[in-house]
Amino acid sequence: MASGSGAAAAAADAEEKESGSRMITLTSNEGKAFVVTEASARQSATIRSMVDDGGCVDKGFPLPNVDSKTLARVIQYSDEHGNKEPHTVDERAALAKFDRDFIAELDADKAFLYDVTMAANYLHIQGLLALTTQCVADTIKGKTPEEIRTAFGIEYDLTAQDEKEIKEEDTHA
Amino acid sequence: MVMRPRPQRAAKFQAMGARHVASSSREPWRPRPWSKYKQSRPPPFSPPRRARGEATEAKRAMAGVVIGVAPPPATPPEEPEPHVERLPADLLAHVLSLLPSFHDLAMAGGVSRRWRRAVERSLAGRRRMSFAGQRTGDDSTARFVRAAINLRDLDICWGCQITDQGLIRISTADCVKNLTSISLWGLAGITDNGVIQLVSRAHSLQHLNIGGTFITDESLYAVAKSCINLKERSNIFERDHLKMGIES
Repeated sequence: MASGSGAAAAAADAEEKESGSRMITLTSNEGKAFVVTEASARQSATIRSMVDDGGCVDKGFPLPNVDSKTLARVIQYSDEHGNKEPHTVDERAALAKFDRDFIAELDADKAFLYDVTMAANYLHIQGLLALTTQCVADTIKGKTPEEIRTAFGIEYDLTAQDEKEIKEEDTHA
Repeated sequence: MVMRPRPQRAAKFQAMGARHVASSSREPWRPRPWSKYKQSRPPPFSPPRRARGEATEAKRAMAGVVIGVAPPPATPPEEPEPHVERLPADLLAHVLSLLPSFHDLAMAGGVSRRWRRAVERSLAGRRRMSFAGQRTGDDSTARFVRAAINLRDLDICWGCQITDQGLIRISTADCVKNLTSISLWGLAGITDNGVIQLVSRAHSLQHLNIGGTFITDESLYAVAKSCINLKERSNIFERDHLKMGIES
């Protein structure tokens, strides 16, 4: 272990001895480093498998597909879910409330929601992915194609052939 | 090739105007309407921006070049950008698989070509499909089952408006030979004809629920003949007279 690399490494070592959990550095595509607990990082199946393989834990994990803003939000989620283990009913309710608030905030900024969704997909954070994809699905639910196009700002690009097929399907349905 | 300097656009425009004045001196010269001028003018150069979410804007600029109409000046777009199109196809298909009803899925299929493919993909990835309580008809049910090429578990339960026509159409789907479980529980509109068609192709069937239907011994003979892997027999013999029928 490179103990001479600085105070940060020493602090991390001390913490490791103290709490029995390592700190892991995640680096966004802008080069910004985020230090998280191992429990939090293990929310991501991608990082979990790399840690278990005994990979570059000390060097940290570069995440070239995730920008800083998105990573900060993803870490907010994984901290909440990784560092706390809900035992009582109240704790579970608090976590469920956190999820609700978290997704309500994301729902207001759709572009960011898709960023977080893709990051969750890339990092394999099942809970977060389920949360965000369900949010998108809820937006689609109960709408006509025209309403979906308006809601998501999608351009109409169906050909006459497609339209004919859809019309046939609709009349039979 | 001799390169000649092109006349300035404004000079050319004035020259045309001057000719116009010379030919008909009664009417005063008026500039061409802006709409005509706009069509002959190339759109202003917009540098290709490669940032995420900007691909569509670049595409729109390209479309402007092809049609020959100048894109609107740099005002913020009124309609929201299609951010959702940034989601990769498999993620969109995953989102669509979370939709609670097949009606929603059919609606999503009519949004755009990309979404149509995503719906197909979402259906193809399913191993289990339940139409319970969804009031789908023969054609739409058969269409969904045909698209679900990896289907293993088909549940056409009470509430569907399925008749023999629907079952016969479903029986021609590719996935039927791989189905391990079929539930036709409570379907009042089906008879032996449809059930025989369906089970005679479902060679991998392990579980079959035909409780609450009005089928007779004939279907059971077909089941006994085709479905050699059947495990759960209890569901088949829910009705006493059927049980007696197969024993006699």
